[in-house]
Amino acid sequence: MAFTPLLTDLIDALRCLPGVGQKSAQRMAFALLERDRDGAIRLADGLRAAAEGIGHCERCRMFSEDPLCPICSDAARDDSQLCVVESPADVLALDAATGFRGRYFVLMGHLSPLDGIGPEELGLDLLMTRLRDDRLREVIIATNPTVEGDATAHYVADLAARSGVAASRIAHGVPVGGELEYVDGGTLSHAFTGRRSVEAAS
Amino acid sequence: MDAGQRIQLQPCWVLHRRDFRDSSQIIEVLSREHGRLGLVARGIKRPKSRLRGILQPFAPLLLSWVAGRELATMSGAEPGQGAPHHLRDTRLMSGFYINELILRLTHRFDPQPDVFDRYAHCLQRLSGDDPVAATLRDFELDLLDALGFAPNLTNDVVSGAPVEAGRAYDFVVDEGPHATQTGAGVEAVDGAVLLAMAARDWREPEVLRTARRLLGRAIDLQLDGKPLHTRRVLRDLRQRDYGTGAQ
Repeated sequence: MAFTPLLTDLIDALRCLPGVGQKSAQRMAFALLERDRDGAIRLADGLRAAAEGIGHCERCRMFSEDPLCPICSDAARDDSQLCVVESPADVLALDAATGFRGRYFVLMGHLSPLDGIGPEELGLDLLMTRLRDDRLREVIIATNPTVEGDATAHYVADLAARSGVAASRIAHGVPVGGELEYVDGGTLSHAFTGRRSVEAAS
Repeated sequence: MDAGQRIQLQPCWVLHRRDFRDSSQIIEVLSREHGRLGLVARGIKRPKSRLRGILQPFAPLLLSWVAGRELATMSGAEPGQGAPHHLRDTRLMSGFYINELILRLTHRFDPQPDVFDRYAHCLQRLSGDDPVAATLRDFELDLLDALGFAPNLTNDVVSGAPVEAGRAYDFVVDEGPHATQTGAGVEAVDGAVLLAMAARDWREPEVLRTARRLLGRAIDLQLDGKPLHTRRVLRDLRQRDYGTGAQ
């Protein structure tokens, strides 16, 4: 069946969303037009405002419409610790799951030489400036445990060493509540080599 | 390979992965018996995917797939023989570099067991303590040789006479050494350096430096002027003096 031009445009536009194909785009378009025109207008306004207004935080590269994101402008946070992550979603995950109260730096990707993603794309020059901050004591590298994440971690650690800042990398290993039998070999071998000494209760 | 044909548990290396649709990836692999191929790994980005941890570069794998016309569909993956190679620090960049060389210089569905074995050997050396530069030059020569693009290092192009140490040659990259001057813009190289390269004697730093340049140009020749991404990224890193040089 042929749609009118406006409807076709809308369905095409919705397909840019992750996980949305032709069928779900149609469903969304019809739902908005049939039942929720106000919601559709709000969605359109919100999308436009966000796409035009949101840039990157000057200090950490997190999404932000202000020069500084809420985390960077929060005076209560600890300036002595900096956590380096690959994506904005990682900031949310870490902030929700850990008690980390330091600052973040978002690389917006990882070193991927085969795709031509290098220091410029990752904002390593900006990170270098952050590392020169006298208040900084520790860099926590939370890149993903992939070979690209490893390469990224190496260069970040190298920059930290050069600025005289201690660097650590988050541990990778067996998931909490997991069973060794079902853990893949790579993870298991990492977990094994990265084992920690157990302090006996005194 | 006919479309629909099922291939079981072939020794493979992952060269590169790129996202495909929402939860899948296209994995470029080098297989020993079937050459380089693109495998669609469905659902690999789902949180519960068990294959994600296995399908990493630099790890020996046994992969199964169903052949297609352009891309094959992966149907299974198991760790292969031996532990994954752990390339330390800047050696990882060398690993990316040789992966790109294979991606760019080999054709899909062109079985090259020799390239496969030499690649495995190179990874073995990179994961140990072998000097990186010599290891990479060996691999570049191996690869060019296996693909039939090996530069002529030993005989004068015009007379066919063996190259002599102590004599200066104009090295024309797609031909080889010229004992007589060929004109402007061609690099003059001492015969001793060419002979050392041919013998893979990397003890002299001068030989390594020249080899890097000449082999780089021999590789560029096969790439039709399209630059290698890894080389650009490495240069960007080195210009900033980040890391400690890998190539």
